[in-house]
Amino acid sequence: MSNKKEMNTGLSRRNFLKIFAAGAASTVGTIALGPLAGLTGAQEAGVLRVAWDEIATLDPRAASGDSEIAFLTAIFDHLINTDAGSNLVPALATAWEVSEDGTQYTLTIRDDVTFHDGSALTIADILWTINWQIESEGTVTDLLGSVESFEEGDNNTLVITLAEPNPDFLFNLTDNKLVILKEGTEEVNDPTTFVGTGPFILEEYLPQNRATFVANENYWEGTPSVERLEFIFYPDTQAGIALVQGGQADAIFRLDNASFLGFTGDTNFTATDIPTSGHRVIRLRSDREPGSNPLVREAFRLATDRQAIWDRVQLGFGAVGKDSPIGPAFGDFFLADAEVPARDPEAAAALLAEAGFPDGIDIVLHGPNTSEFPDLAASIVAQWEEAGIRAELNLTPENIYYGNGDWTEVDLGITGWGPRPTAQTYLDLAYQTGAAFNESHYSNPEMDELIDRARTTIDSEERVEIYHEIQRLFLEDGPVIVPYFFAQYMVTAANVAGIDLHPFAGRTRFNTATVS
Amino acid sequence: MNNFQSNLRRQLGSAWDFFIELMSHPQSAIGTSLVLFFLILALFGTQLAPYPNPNDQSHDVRVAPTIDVTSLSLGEHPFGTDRLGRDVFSRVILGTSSIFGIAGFGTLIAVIIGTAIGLYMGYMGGITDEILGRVIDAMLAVPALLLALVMVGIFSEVDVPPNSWQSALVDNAVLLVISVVYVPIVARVVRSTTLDIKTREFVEAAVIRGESSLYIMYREIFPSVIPSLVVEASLRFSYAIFLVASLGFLGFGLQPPSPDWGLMINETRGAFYNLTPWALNYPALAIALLVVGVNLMSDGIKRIVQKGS
Repeated sequence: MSNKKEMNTGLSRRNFLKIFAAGAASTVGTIALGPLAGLTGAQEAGVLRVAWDEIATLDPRAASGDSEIAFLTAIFDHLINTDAGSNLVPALATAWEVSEDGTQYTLTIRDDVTFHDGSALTIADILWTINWQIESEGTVTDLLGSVESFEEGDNNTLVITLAEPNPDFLFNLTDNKLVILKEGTEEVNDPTTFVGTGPFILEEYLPQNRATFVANENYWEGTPSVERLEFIFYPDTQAGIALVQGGQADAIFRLDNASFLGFTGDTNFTATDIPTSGHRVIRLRSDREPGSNPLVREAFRLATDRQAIWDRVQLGFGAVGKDSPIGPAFGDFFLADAEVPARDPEAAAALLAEAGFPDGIDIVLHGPNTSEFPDLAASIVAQWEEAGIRAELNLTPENIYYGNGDWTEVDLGITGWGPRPTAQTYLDLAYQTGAAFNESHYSNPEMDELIDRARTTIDSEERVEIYHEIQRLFLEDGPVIVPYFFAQYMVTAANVAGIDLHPFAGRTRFNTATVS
Repeated sequence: MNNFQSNLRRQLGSAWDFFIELMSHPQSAIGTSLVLFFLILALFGTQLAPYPNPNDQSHDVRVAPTIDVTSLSLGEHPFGTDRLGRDVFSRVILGTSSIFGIAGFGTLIAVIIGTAIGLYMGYMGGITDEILGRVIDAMLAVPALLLALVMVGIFSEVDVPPNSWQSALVDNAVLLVISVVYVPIVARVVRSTTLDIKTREFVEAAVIRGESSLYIMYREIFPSVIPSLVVEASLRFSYAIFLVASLGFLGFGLQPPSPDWGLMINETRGAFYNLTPWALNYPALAIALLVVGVNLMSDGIKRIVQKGS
């Protein structure tokens, strides 16, 4: 019977609707979400609600994500902070002095700081925290590896003796993980037991849901402007954006370029972006064919249009790269007037021919498949094609790509480098002969010598000159293309003010924030 | 004229007559035309697309569709450009061949294997039928998309030596998945038709003549199965298109920068939809048109076949 009916009507109505609905579902779905964006939730003056991604650990020895560091930054204090321009900003340490030979630092510690339980902060607390971190054999242990001793000095000072001079040493003390705990703290996994000196006191913590803080009225920098601070945790970025659009949260920091661009034109929100030192690297192994030939490396660079990639992939947020890891976020250290040769596919092809590849090169480009990496890869591969570089893409999940060590092995790869407080970190980790993460296997005695000098030179003008020299060398001979430095974003509701965005979002401080 | 040919003639008429019959009904005519249209795009896409290289980047990023309605002329980018400045019109055209190829070949493999299994089960009966029948039931109990996701997931985790037959399998994972997912469905349809046919006189006559089982299955029973098989195959094809597009959308199909329709939708959904809605709308429209077309055509085939019997 039913067959007969279908024969008469051809395609049944139900089937047609089913097919049509499925085909159009994605389109309609996206359109339908639009109008919801304008809804606003209950907003209270004096309460700041920040949307963060979920927290994995709050143990200060292991915490690393933005949301984790933000949690610790609310409850605890660092000895020294940094600002958007990579400058040192006093926190628990109000002043510092360096000995003539650069090996001894004397930090003056505030004497008006109390923990949330009312007890006063002492040098003993600081010494205990530092030793506790060093004993964990974690990243802080590496950072402070050159320290010979930490001691209590006169007049509430902390005296640190180094084995050799390190002009960046104070930046190591600004490390995200290095929050100051109360001496003898044992429980670090349950945040409800946390006793800090920070601007906010934890009131309630519901994992994967929210955390509520109240202002610390005895805070050494003055009572925070907002009475309460709430962190709302979201499972994925789109959910977080929906929270802000729907008015259930007042601020969000981690969002993709296109979503951020969407907020920039909306008067209900304030969209802020600052360039960071975080960047993407496209690197060619320089210890074997074809990258061992400097002509090939130059050909890859000549076949690339960094500005076009930045415009397309980053939508113009952040900064264009100049094929070195030292970017504008490092102020004077950045060689702002460096001349990157304009893209010239013919010249690149000619260089390849000269290097022994008259028919071009077939090569596989490896990289992660998350975030904007696929767009970056697609863009650069299309640019190279004209120069005879035929790159096949092999993109894998980020944890696999970095997890199994392939990223330092493959001939041609894309790597993401997160923001670091000093330029020296990148050079030490990735560009000196034999460095731990020397993914391009680059080895140039001239570069090694310059990196060594930069690490130990105390005179700042001389250091600027060395860093500029390093950047010139990168442009001339380097194994990497750095197309752009990415931006750190912040979107807040229009009634929120007073937040200074930090290049590492989790270090943004909320004690000066106001909600009207 | 042997038995096989005469059977085929009787059931379907000549291919041309069948086509005329298909086009004589408005709905199936629309469906068939749509399928033929996309087939031409799939075969000659590289010649037809204004930018034969799907990864070509224009210097104009995120250009809106430029169709001049007054003069009915197409601008430089009739469907606009996507976020990376690639021509959406060309990418939709060039994406036709992959979806047609994967869904088409996948369906073909499923039909061939499914028919062999279905004939065998239906004709042999007994314990073989029981065992295979339960296996098929088990496979049908799992939704096709879920089964496909699990299989693609397994394929993507396997470590294979490059340029080997194993890597060829992994590279064509989606095609294999389509085949495996649809084999049981085809087998079941063929089996039930076989069960019906094998009691007919001409089959019994062949058994008495002493023909081998293989001969009886392929020369006597198979031609009678063809009509229901054609209907089933066309229906599978339309579902296969959907499955390929769904896998692409979920990121398990072809990888970037392929101009795969599902992938194009996935890449543009979310925040980019506000910037380049056309980069999502046109591939979505193409999927909808192709699936509707194949379904209308398949309904037409069904109508003719049922009229014939």
